[in-house]
Amino acid sequence: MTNSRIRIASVLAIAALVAGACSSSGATTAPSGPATKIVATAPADQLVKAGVLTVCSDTSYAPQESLDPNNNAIGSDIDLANGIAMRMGLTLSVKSTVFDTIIPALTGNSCDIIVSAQTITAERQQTVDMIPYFAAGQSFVVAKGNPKNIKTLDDLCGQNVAAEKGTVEADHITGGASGYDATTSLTGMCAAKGKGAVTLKQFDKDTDALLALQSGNVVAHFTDEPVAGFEVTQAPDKFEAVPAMTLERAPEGISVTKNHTGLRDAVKTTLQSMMDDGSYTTILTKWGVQSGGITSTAAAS
Amino acid sequence: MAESLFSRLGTRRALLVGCLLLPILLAGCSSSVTLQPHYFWDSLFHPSPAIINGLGLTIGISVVAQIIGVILGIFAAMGKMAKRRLFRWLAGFYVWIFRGTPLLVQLTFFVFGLSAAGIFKWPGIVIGPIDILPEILAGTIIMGVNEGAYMAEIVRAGIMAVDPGQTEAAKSLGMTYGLTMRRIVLPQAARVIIPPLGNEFNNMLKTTSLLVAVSVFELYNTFSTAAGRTYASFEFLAACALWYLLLTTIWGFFQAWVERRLARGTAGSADYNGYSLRARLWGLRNNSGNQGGR
Repeated sequence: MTNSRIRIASVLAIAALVAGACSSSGATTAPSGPATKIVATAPADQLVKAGVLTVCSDTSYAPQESLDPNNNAIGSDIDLANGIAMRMGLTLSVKSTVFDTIIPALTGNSCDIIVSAQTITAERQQTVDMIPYFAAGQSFVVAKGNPKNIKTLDDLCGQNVAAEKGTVEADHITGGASGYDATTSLTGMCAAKGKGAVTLKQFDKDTDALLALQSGNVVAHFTDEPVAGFEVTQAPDKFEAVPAMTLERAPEGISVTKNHTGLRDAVKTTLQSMMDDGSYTTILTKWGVQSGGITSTAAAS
Repeated sequence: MAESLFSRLGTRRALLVGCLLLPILLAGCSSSVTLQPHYFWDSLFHPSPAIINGLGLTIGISVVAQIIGVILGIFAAMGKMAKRRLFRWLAGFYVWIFRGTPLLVQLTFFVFGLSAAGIFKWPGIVIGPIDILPEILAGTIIMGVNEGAYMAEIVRAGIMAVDPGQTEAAKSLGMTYGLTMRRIVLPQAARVIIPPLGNEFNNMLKTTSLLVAVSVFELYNTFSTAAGRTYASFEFLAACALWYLLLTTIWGFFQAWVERRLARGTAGSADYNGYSLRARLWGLRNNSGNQGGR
């Protein structure tokens, strides 16, 4: 190859790498609104990057967190995180993270907090501190017209159900974690009635689990109630909800690494102030998930 | 020159194409098939900034990882042929580990496994004005190291294909090992290395899609996210496949050109000149016979 062609090729390769590396890759800095009063501050040594609240979030979970066509994070959780960041005098940066490995990402110092619709479980609280910020039930989504006639939990026995990897829904089907054992899991309950087990099909992204329903590989998609509701409103010709089968409203928490007590207390204070002054409810209403609102960040006993 | 499609392509080939298109046309007429074709056409002809970003990442990561792979492969190949047992052992161990484990496992282990145990967390680096995210850095390096293990064998085959008389002549002229490698052996080995190297880069372009597991927003992840958001997975994934096909086809043309340049003046290269570029690239010959020339 002549020298000039090598040069052109290397310039093109570098240009491509620049174009790609400059991508925001899901990270977004919050637009600066009117100056918000700073309610609490976090110690700088407990932040990954000074002046920035880095949030890990699994952005496949609309309406709580998802990506818009430009790969910017949007959603009720994102707006809540933004509110918390502003009241701490920080800018927001969201890292799209795979849900299955989101806690190792937090403890490995890739981010400061997790705001990703994580249900508070005893297991998770062994590794991280969780601040209650929302409550959601677990719901099923089925194909339009409910062709497999899923009306009760027993109808799921012997069938395939899709859920996202690492979620309480996945554990609820199989048992063995998140407080579900052989008697309280869906599979266990089917076995106790002498019916076939519920087979869990799990996926790295919640949107993939929904696509499994769309392609007919599973009879139901098991996910959080707000997400299920959103999925049905987005595509009412494809999916429908089964409201009678909604289970267990449980608190969801913001995760903070265990020894970052200063950060944890700052987040708790700012979140409580948002609940007190009404901005919390405004955000939830904007995204249609106000039914999951709670009034206090005190941990449920 | 109104040659009909049949006479140019050949009847059998036209029938084959027709058989492939027929089910798609029939599916489009079926009432249970719902398509949203604007997603497909838009992502091909009016790609969003996210798709352009994904494209840039895919190409950029492939190029850098392949370069890392070639460099590591050359060192590993020379290590495997070294006189000292330590170098042979080190090179052999490297090739064994990275060829013996799946790339997906390597990616998730070195990105999530190490940080979860608190052993190592990949940093983001800043090169001038560019901010390279930690997962992009990690993905590129891990893919490069993985590629090096495969390139080691390819480079070793290339080096062994060079007539040993060349090394002997170089030695008798008093050239050091390094000088011999750089000036005599490797340039001649390049002719044998380039075709499989081209193949490896073709693979690399496609294997970058595995980086979805470490949350890099390369081409596949971008399309998969769009499909998840709009439920139009058929349209977006078909468009995604076509984008990859475009990348690998462009590379195929480039690779063919490089091989032709390298083969100039060597024995047997004249045989290729009787066929058209299309025939040489795809190994087909159309029914109207050799086109001749380039």
